[in-house]
Amino acid sequence: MTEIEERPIDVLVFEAGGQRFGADAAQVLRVLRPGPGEDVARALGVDPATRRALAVLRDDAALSLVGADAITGVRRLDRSSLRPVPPFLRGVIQPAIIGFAIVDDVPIVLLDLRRVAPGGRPENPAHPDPPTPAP
Amino acid sequence: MSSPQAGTGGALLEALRQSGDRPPPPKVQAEAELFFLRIGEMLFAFDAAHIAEVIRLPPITRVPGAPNFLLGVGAHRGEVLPVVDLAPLLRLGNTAVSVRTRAAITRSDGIVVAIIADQLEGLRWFKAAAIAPPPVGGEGAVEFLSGVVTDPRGSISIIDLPRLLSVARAQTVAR
Repeated sequence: MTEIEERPIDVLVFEAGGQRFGADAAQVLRVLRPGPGEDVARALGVDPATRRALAVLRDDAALSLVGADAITGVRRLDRSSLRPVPPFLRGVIQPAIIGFAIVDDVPIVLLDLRRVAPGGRPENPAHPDPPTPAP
Repeated sequence: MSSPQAGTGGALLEALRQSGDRPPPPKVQAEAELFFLRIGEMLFAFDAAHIAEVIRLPPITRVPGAPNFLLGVGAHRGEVLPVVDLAPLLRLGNTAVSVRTRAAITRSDGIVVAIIADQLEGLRWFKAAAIAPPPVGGEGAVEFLSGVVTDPRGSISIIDLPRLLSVARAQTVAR
């Protein structure tokens, strides 16, 4: 029998496009402040106007940056607050969305940053076998 | 009495034992319970068997890149609930969401979604014989209708809700 992991999980909560998102904090190597002097951000294709950039190591070990408007912080969430993508949405929403965390009765979209990052793989094992609707 | 169990009460026990194997008598669908809603000036209904409950619309989290019929997701009783706007699915624009907006939680084919419309009117009973077949041909909502019923306000289209949701989802997945 598979043992169920009960330890809380650290989720980096950030804002982008006026919306709150969450991601596994372990995926983020560093948070950068891109600006005119941040050649690394510009070289990696992040708009210098972006207020923050999350440095992420993609599956292919390449470094990539994901822009964000603000970093809310790291929240330690009980695993009981995590929800998979509901069946109706599997295959309907973007594969980088791997599930939701319910915080204060409001769902937060959880992202796999490796798939959001430029060059990241589009496939997502969090959306397995979307059920084929009846004709 | 010819039964070998006569006088022992065994026949009743045997009949009770077998009753579990006997198929239930066929249901005579004398009445149909429909759930009514309004989109703009148009009234629609669907089979009330799909309704679980009607709730105040919870805070909505938008889902980036979602199709236009998906308003977003909300939390209800600890679960994440997709919230679907029926209006774009029926090619009738979009529902204007306000603090008075209610959502009907529906279950069909193992899929749970909350649907919104301009107004959720509630349940009404009709004699099954009062339900006419849907019109043939046409565009828009017609292809998702399972019947038509008439009340004092006029002719009301009955939506095949599972089919409508299934087709909308399939078209999005196929994109």
